[in-house]
Amino acid sequence: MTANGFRKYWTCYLFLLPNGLLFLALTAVPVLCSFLLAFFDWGGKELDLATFGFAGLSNFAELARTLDFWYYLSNTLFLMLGIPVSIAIHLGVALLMNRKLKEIVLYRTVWFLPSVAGGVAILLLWQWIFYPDGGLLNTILAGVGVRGPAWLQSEMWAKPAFMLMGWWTHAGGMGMILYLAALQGIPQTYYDAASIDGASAWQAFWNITWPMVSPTTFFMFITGCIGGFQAGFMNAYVLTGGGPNGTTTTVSFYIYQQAYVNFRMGYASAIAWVLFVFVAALTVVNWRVAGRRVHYQ
Amino acid sequence: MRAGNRARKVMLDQAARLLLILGGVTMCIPFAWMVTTSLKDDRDLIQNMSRWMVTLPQRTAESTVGLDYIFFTTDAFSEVVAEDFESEDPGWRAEGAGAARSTLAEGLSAGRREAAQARANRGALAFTLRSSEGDTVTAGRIFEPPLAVPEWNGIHFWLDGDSSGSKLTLTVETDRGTFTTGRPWTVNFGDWRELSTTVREEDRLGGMPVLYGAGALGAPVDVPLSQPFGVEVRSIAFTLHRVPYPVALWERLTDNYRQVWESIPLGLYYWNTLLVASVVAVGQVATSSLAGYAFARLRFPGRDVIFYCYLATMMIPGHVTMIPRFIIINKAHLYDTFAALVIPGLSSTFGTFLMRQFFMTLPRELEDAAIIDGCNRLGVYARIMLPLSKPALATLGVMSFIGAWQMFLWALISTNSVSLRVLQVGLASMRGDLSGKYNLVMAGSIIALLPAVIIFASAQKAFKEGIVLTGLKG
Repeated sequence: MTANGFRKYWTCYLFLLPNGLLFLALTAVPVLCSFLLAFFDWGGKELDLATFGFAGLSNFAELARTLDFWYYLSNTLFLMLGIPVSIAIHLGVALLMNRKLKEIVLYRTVWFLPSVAGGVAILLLWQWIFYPDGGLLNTILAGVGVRGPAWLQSEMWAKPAFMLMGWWTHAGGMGMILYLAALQGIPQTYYDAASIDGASAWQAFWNITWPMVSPTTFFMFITGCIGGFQAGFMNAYVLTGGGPNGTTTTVSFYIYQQAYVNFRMGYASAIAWVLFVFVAALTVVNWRVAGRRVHYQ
Repeated sequence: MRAGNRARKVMLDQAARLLLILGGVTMCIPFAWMVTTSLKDDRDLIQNMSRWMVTLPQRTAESTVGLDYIFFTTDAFSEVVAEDFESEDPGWRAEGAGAARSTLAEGLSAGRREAAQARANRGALAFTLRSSEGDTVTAGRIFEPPLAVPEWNGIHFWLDGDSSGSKLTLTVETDRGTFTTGRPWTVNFGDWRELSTTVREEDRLGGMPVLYGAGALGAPVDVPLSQPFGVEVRSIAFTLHRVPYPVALWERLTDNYRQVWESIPLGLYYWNTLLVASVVAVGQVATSSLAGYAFARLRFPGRDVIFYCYLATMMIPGHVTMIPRFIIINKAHLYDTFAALVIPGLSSTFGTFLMRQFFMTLPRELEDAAIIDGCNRLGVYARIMLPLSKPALATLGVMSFIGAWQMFLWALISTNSVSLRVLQVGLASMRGDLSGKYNLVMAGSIIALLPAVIIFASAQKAFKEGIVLTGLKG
């Protein structure tokens, strides 16, 4: 750019400067670095350059050979099976919340409570709920004559336990509020017309509500899948340490372990990029397949 | 037709109400479980794990405690000096209003007579406190001549307590001064328990163990500062203070909370989190609105290219950037500093995008008028755009505040020292610090949750608007 051009536009760049510098240093450069890093072998706690060596595609080759990685990927995908259920719960709760009841604010507050509380404290609560002998869940199950499993300590039940926890935590949360906003945007006249035509509540739901909220469903499905691929770190870190026997280790927890426990930065970057490829591919597929069914006004 | 519709509506309303109440109860049950667990003491937790009710201190007319196996060292197995007194030892006496010194079962309540008799061959000292006759009773003995203890580091003894919530203090008079417990024990366990206390430098005979009954049965959490030293013990006295029932009840119920507050620096974690979240929220709103304005309204070479770069990086998972980010922070010698916690939060591609989208919706005419009137770009931004975009700014502020409040992974990897720990990381480490005592873990979690719930409940409107705004327009 010419000096003249800079003189003309310098105020514009000034606006961009604080954000842009940070973006450059902590987002743009890291994205490039991490891409390069995936082709290098670099590790050790001190991160000195002496241990820095070109690795070609060997990080990716190692990843492909590592059976654990594919197992962790399958764990991640298994946990993502909870996403449609979660979306259904959001919609169901939003439909209930959309009825004009006097005490609706009370319900909204109570249902919203777990997502507000959020974070580690809720995880610690659930660890106690899932406690095998005398935890809340198994106490309730014992009350109806069922001998509950060891939940987080059981290879079979640890993942379903995480799903259950997720449904409870987010049932009345942001997803529900998004649906509520969508429901409130549907003109009442549509329903009036349907009722004049003698449509049942079920028919009204399938023919009016469901198509009208489909952009929201689409949005939640897409963001849910993107988030789902990256999920599971906190649960694994706080509750199970990735166990028992790796059952609750997701890709994101594996990246954490490789990068910050084993200090294999290059290898971890390679995993992160492979993850990105999966996320991007699934998003494109979602967009193509589900996007067609979305009804925009 | 109309009437039928109305009936159907009422029916649906009632069904919705029922489901909402049922679901609401499901939402509340874990929290209620959390609260009752946080109120239980250790014994209650282990014995009645699946019970909801909390065992409360008993309202008793009198309090009786028994003592046995008193050692002048914290290690009960060391052979240094053990005062395993005989039941008929005349040296031990109890004093004070209502005191009744007894041998063996005489002074013990009927329920615990068996336990006492099981120890008949050892001998025990029991003393009773009757509320009608006074509030304290002291039992002990004077050593004449003084008892030489060559390597003294504390007192170890067995106590047969009741559930009254009375307080027990211990005073040891030696040639090197008088030592007393910094804090009394609370007697609210209904059976024999091993207790010990160590000599600490600051208050001589140290306070009670913070987690009584923990570790090697009553090993104090505080590391004893002094080496064992030789003393001549002139007298030893246990004093039982009766506590009014409401006070005993209050202390019992708040006990876990006080223990957690004292053993885990939750206040510090709070302060750190609040500081980080505030700095991040203010910084992010400032940088994002400036950049968002530039992208929305200004024309300059490279604008679109830069904006597309922003958009593209939004789609890349956080894990990708996290590693080089960590290395950069490390190389900049910012590892384990406050700066490391906040700097990555100061700019946000999402926030920039949000602000740009919002500024795009504002009418251009106001701006043009201001520029014609001679206002420069910064003036337009500060005097016209910012006041108009208060809802969006508030939304971004609340969202970035919450994001920073919930920050976990970055805080975990970018800092190490306890003085910089944020709440989420502190809570996660609490589980290990408290060695799986769920009553304390739950108490700590509640302390951590409560202000967050209050803050977010009061900001709920802005929060909800923000979600709607970003969810539908983002």
